[in-house]
Formats: sequence, C-alpha cells, structure tokens
Amino acid sequence: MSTNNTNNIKNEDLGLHFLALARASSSSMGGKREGEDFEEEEVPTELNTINSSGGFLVVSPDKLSVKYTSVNLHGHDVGVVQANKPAPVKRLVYYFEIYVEDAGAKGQIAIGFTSESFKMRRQPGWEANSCGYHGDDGLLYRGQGKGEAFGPTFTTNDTVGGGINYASQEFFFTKNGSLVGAVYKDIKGPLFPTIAVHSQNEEVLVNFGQKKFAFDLKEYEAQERMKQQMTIEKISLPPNVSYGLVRSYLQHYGYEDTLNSFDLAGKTTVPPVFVAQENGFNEQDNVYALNQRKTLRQLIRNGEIDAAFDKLRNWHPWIVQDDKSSTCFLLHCQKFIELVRVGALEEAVKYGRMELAKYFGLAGFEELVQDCVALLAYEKPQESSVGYLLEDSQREIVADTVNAMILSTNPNVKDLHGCLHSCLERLLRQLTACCLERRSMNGDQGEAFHLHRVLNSGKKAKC
Amino acid sequence: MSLFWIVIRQLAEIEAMAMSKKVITREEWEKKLNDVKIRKEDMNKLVMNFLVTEGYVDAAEKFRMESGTEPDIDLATITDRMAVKKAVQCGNVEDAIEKVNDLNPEILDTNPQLFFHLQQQRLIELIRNGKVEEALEFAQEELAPRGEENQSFLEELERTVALLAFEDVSNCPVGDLLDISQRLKTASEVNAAILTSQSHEKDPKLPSLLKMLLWAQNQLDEKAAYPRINDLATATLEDPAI
Repeated sequence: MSTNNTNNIKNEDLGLHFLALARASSSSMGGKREGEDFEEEEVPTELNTINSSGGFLVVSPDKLSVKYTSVNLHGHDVGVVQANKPAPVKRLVYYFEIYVEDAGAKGQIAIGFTSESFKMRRQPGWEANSCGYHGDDGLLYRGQGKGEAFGPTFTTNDTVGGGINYASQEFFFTKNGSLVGAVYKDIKGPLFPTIAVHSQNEEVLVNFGQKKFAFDLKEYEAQERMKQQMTIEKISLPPNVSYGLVRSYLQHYGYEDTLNSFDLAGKTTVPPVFVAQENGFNEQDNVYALNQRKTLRQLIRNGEIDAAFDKLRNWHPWIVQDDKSSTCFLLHCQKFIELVRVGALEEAVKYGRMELAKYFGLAGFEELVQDCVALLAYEKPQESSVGYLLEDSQREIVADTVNAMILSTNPNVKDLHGCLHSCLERLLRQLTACCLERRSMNGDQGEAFHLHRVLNSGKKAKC
Repeated sequence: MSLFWIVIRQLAEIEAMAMSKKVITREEWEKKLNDVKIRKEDMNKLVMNFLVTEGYVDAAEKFRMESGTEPDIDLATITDRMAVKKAVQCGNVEDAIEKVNDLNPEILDTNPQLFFHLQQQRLIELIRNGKVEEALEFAQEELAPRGEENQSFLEELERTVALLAFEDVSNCPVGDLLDISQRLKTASEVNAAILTSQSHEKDPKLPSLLKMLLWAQNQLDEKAAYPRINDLATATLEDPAI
C-alpha cells in the first residue's frame, strides 16, 4: 500500500504537467498563438541627444540626422552621437545605415560602434572599446591609434552601413548596398550604433530600419545561416536514426494506424529499412497497451468523453478512481467543453454543477474551471478570450494526458519522465537547452533555437 | 578573520572558474530541460514533414487522421513521386523518365545533369541485362552528344561504357556502377528534383535537427560539462564527466 502511495504522488505530478499545458495557450498565460516567443529586446530608434557632444553638432528635431556646425580645430572637438539604445544582441545580426547628405569641408565622417562610456569628443575607433569606419581615408579604426586598410572612402550621396554579426563575432560594414568587409569584434558588453561628423557642414542621416536598407540584410542573414548549416550538414548520423525516432514517437503517443502503415511501407522499400534494436525492452515498453491508448485517443479526439471514461473504468480503473486527480479533472472539463461546442448549454450547466463545481477553490484547478465556465458567457465562445478551449489542440492535450497515465501503469516503467516525453521530444529539449545555455555563456549574443521557427522557415521560402 | 576567509574563498572560486569549465549538474540541467517549451503541434508537424518528404504516403494519410496534422504538400503528389522513385530503384528507367515528364516536363528540361544521370542509369541497366548491341547504340546516339556539351558527363559516360570491356563485371574497377547503391543514388536525385519542382524542401527537417543537436552539444562542450545525450536512438541523458 505504501509503495502505491508514493507512486500516486509521482503520477499526480504527471497530471499536473498536463494541467499546466492545458492552460498554456490561454491568453492570460501569455500564450501567443502566432507571434511566437521571440524575445523582446529594445532596439535603437533614434539618436541620443542628451549625451551627444553638444556645441559641435546639431541633431535635427526628428533625431535622425546630424550636422557639424562649428569649425573643427583639433582632435577633441569631434561631433559624436550615439543611438538611444545599444544594439540588440539576441539575434543573428544587428545592422543600421547612414546616408551622407553633405560631406562638408573635409568629409571626416565615421560610422561604427562604441561602448556606453565612450568619450563623446573623439572619433569612433580612436579610443579603446570602439570601432569605426572612416569616410575620409576608408580606414578602419579599432582603438589602437592607427587605422588599418579596410575599404573605399565614402562621401556625399553615399549610403554606408554598420553591423554586428553575432554568429561570427564580427563587425561588418557596407557601402551603397555592397559588403565592404568584416573585422573581429573584440569588445564585450553593450555597443551603441555611433556616427561622427568632424568638419563644417558635414550632414548625415541615419536609418535604424525605419526605411528600407540599401543593403540586402535578409539575403546576408540567409547566407550566414547557410554557412552554419553547411558545417552542421557535414556531421554524420547513425543509419536510420530519424526513421527509428519517428517510429518510437508514433508508439509513444499511440498513433497505431500510422505506425502500422509506416512499418508496412518500411518493409517494402528498397532496400528495407533496418533499425538497430539493441535494447529490446525499449520497444516493448513503447508498445505497452498500444491499442488501448489508440482507442482512447480516438474517442477523446472525437469528443466522446463519456465513452473514454467508460473504457478507462474498464481497462485502468486506477486512473479514474480519484475524482480529484488532474486526469479526471481534465476529462470532466473536456466533457463540459464538448457540450458547449454542440450548443447543449443547459446540459453543460447541469454537468458543470455536478462535476466541475467541486474543483472551485482547489489550487491549480481553479483557473481552468473558471475559463471553462466562462464559455457560457459568450454568444460566440470561439471568438472569446477562452476560445482556445474549443481548439483541436485542447483535445490533443487531454488525449496526451490519458496516454501518459496509461504508460505510467506499465510495471516495467522506472522513470516516469519516459511516460511524459517521447525520445524525439527529449532530443528537441536537449537541443533547445544547449543552444540557450551556449548563448547565455556568450553574453546572450546570437539567435536562440526555436523549433516553431525552423518548421515555418520552409513556407516563407516558398513565396 | 571571517573576512579573510571570504576573500580566500572568492579567490579560489575565481581561479576555478578561469581554469576549468563550468559544471552543470544533472539536477540543474533537468530543470533547464523542463523549462523548455516544445509544442505538441510542432512535433507532429516535424513527423508529418518526415513522412511526406520520405514518401510514406499511407502513413501520412493515417497520421493526418490520427493527429489532425495537415501535411504541407498535396498527398496525391507523393504517390506519383514514389512511383518514379520506385521505377528507378527497380531498374525501369525508361518508365521513370516517362512518369517524370507526365508529372512536369520542366523537371528534366531544366536539369540536364539529372537527365544525363537517368540516361546513364538506363545504359547501366542495358549492360546489366547483357544487351550489348543495344547498349552501344544507346550510348552513341543518346549519351555521346550530351558528353560533348559537358566534360564531366563525358568522363561519366566513358566510365560507364568501360563496363563493356570486362567479362566479369562484378569484379572490375567500375563494378560499383552495377551496385544497388547506384540505383538508389539516381532515385534519390530524381526524388529531390521532383520535390524542388513542387517548392518543397528536398530533405526532411528531422535529420538536420539531429545533426544540429550533435553540433550544439559539441559547441557547448567547449565551455561546460553538462549531461549529454550520446545515443540519439534512446535519448538517454548521461551524467556530466567531471
């Protein structure tokens, strides 16, 4: 009895996992359906007029252009202005452009990046922790006093761009839409897009992306991704490992019909697919109660919750024995949702009073009950804030819960984590975690891995 | 006194950090893994993408019903594509060429290399079946003119014709052309061309993601010791080596 008890606690943890999932797509949980979890970071939008080297230059009222108004006398009266925010880092590339409206008396214009503490009367690149591409000599300065040969000079009517490539850890610069060159970025910490003017009447407009860039940034990013992809594609995989993972995924979730078709096709291909099965127990555990799991998934996906309850009472009474368990709760909620879906509102109210009311006030359960009951308040519940409950994915979550619970009744199961996640999911979690960890060790620089984005990238390429 | 020890300990920590890699324990790592959000729909899409791209049309149809996942391509086109692939795999190259042209004549028109490889495969099949005269005629009339256009085609053609020079082809230096792998190579080339013509990626996404996992783990190895997954098939987390 006592072992059964500890088992209970662990199994309830499984249920809680799905309970969290069931609410994950509700709007109050911040579940964005389309926009996806891209990390919001502030981006430069305009020039910073507060710490610019006032006196030597004038920033226009829209804060997107500067003009050197005085006469330069020495090296410490440069008109420098930074962007209002540092370049964002949680991405592959950051980029901005300037347009030289007027090269003025000497054309001593520079574009680059500087740290927050930069001396605002010096050219970017003249001081430590800064980097700048200078228009009058085409040299690149990196805080070492002397410039290095880099690219062409630039003057009136030229568009020049500066960027940071976080994957290669390089600064790069462009002129009139073409890449000039790149140089290793050896500065740590936040970097501000910076422009400088240093002779009379020099005037520069800056574009932080409000207008179309002269440089094809999308293409540049695509090429950078491709470079990385080429390295990755060279890695070799064990034979048929993808095939085996798809197979165990189908087994894990009880997609039995798909599995049978898949196996049948695998036998008739030339040559037949052979998957190494060194660990026989894994296969056995994967197909545990396969047919029951398939049947229950079908019933739940069809909205036949009563039938699903009946089957469960028959096959695995233990799972539905405790009415206060997450599994029972999710099934009851789903039954209620199905009644609302078909417009049987009176019956829904009756069912709610009988089966859902008892969950009010129970920590963890209350929010979902409230959302369910809220369905009754709307004439068109699909379009309401709780409309997520009526989506197909909600049925899938309930089916996945029951699936995991049945898997956990397998006496051979030692680690309940195996009931929760398929091999495929464990690999995808590991991949995401590795990418995130690597980025966080790298000052949060670069792109994170998002399965959702990878899956939708192909579609974009089509159109 | 206590301050002294704090300073000493801090120094030791700084030293340890500089000297060794960061160690992430199993417990810490599992917490990170649990924080990752992977959507079921996305995994289903990944599986569907595999079934569709690899041509498991029946399984894709069943999976659509069982999981509600919509395939990213018209399933009917898979059947046609697989018929072409199978024809090449079985050595019916003429049949395959006809089928490709029925599907979309532009595929071969715009892919001279693919067309050459198919013709080359046809020649190989003729030689395999001992039809020496027919093979020679075919090589001279159909393949040689193409070889004149392209040096690498010419070399391939010469290599293939060399099969005729040996009595025991199974034991000659160009014998690999008769191997089943040559058919599979040609078949997968046609398969990829058809997929591209349907604006679909020619490779499934899953293997790329698995490679990416191996790559990401290698990258992280440089900076930290953490629980790795070494066996992709079982996805077992290994304890970090310290």
